[in-house]
Amino acid sequence: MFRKARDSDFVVGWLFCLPFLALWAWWFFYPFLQSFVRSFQDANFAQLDAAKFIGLDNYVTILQDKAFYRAVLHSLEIVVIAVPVQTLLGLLMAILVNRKIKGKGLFRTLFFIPYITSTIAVTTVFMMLFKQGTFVTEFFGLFGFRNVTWFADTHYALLFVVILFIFQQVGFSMIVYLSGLQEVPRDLYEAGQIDGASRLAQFRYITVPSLKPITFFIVSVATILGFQIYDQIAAISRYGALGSPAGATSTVVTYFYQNGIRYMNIGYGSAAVVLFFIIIMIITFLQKKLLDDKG
Amino acid sequence: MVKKMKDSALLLLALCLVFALAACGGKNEDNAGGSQASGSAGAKTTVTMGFWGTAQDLKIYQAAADNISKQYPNIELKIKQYPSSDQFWNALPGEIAAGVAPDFIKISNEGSYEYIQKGMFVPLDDLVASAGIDLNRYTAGSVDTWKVDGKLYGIPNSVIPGMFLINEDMWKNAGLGKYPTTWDEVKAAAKKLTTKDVKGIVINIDPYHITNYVKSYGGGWGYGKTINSPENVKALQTIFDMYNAGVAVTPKSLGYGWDGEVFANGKAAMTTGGYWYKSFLKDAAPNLKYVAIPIPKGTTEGSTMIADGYVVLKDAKDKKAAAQAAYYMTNDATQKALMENGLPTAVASLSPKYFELNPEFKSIEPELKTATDFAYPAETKKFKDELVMQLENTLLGGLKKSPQEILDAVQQQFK
Repeated sequence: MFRKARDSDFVVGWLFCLPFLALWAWWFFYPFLQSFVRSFQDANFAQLDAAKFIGLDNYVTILQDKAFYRAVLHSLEIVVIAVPVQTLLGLLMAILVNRKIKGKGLFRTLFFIPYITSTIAVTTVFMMLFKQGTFVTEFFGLFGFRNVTWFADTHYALLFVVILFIFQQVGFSMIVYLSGLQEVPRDLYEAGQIDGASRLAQFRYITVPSLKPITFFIVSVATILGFQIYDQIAAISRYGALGSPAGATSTVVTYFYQNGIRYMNIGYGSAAVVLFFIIIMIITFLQKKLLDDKG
Repeated sequence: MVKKMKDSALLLLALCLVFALAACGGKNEDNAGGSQASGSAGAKTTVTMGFWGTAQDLKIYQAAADNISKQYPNIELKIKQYPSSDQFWNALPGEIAAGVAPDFIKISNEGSYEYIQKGMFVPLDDLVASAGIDLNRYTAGSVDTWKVDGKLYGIPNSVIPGMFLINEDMWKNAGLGKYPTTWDEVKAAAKKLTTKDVKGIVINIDPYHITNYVKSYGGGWGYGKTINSPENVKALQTIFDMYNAGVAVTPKSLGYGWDGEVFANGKAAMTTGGYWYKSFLKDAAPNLKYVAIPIPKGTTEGSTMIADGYVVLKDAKDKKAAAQAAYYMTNDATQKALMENGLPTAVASLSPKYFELNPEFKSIEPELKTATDFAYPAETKKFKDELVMQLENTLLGGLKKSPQEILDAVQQQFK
């Protein structure tokens, strides 16, 4: 340790990390620690001084609350549907714009724009498009969907959120995949061609394995963002209860916000956050097991 | 070369840290300077007022803030505007916890009870005398609105009953005569007013609007004790009947945020509403002709009493100065300016002039005697969310629950 401390690289390395670590500790670790402590308290925003220790009561209450399971189910639905779809679409779009086609720069820009556009702006535009009687709802009517305002219908509202999330996120996946595609060595494809591998076989045995670390990154990021989805739901619920209509778009985050912030039960809300953290941690761990390329 | 680069990197990093520390230090110096200034003799106390409202409201409040030193030389008033009531209510708890909330705020009686119960506002009874507040300036009813368990929590600013609004042109074009006085007449009129593109009535699934129906049947929430009363069930049945008859619509179903947008866009001919329609329609639909009438009767006359008031937060640095600044906001000049903007006043001497300045609301004046407070349960936001969710489940989600079942389910949560 002493030898290491004298090593200039070691010191410089830590010094470079220090500002980030300090900010991370202050803005993320400390609040999380506070949330963890609060999760064992009966704490109200209005009277934090009067908070009292209640052990696991908050956790017990949450685990008995049907609304929490409903929120968890909705969060899982968003992630399970949106993450694979946006990952696949992102890959397909990246392959498309990686080819020698005219105007590929324009396509790259167009596909990426939703990702950098304000979520509220994109949601507002989508809300205008998915109103009853628009060409979008009429188009979906061809596939058996009812011509209704999607975000006002309890059967379609969550699907609306999923489509919105995919639309916004797919541009990011495309850009990351594109950078990955450009890193795949050309000679692998050439070797494959010499061996008589078809295009599909090249994709299956060269492209997909080469992009495995990228896929892991995209899936992890999209999963976390999918679980954290909030702005879109808040915009849909404008003037109404969060998770509107009738809780059809409630998620773990809205559950926390509603209880912790809106109802000011910060102890109860913190317990929901801790449970949420554990859920994300387990899922990320499983993803890592399934997708991480150790080779 | 490598060593030089490392030295440069170290130097750069050290410089960054020095800047960061200097920035933090600067903030502390500012704070120190601030407290020194407020601590010195004759220095001004800075008071912050929070409110949500229009840009026009902000101008009026800003003008009042600029002039406050004429009456209170020791007070400097800052105005903090929130974009909407929703953002205001959502931001406030966090601001209070973080110690950056305003010293006093303008709020509506619709959401105040919960905060009073949670001890977020200061009882003003002890401050009334020391801050020189003359409660006789206000109408008696408006002062009572801000009393909970015999303690005064707010300085009244405005008070007016809920109302029912009708698109005058649509009404006339449908060949309808006298404006409705009962919900049965509204139902009949709504049928005639409904066309392919227009619904007879927009009913916002929002507790404010629902409460107006409830009050017109002699019902109420009774602070959570009478949620599933027979009167409330009857009121909800009236709403359901209009939906089932296909003459009513929710703003959400049409993709709008609230009832005013539906009304302004000519998608519905009637709605329950309030005084804020005037300033909203002035911008949103300047050519729309409308009439405002009292909330129609179910079994009795009844509607909500909407009252704004100024409340001092428990963490206000100087509570007396905050109470004085709040009281100053009800001065005649400010109240007149607000009245011209459509906001009713609680100042007794100015109240009659409100209906002269806003003749479209004249027919509402008698309702001042019958309109009553919201009386939501202490966990107001939870109650409102639960009520809305239950109603949306049936009206937007196709669940076949009766009004009795819906209200029983809500009552269950607020025993």
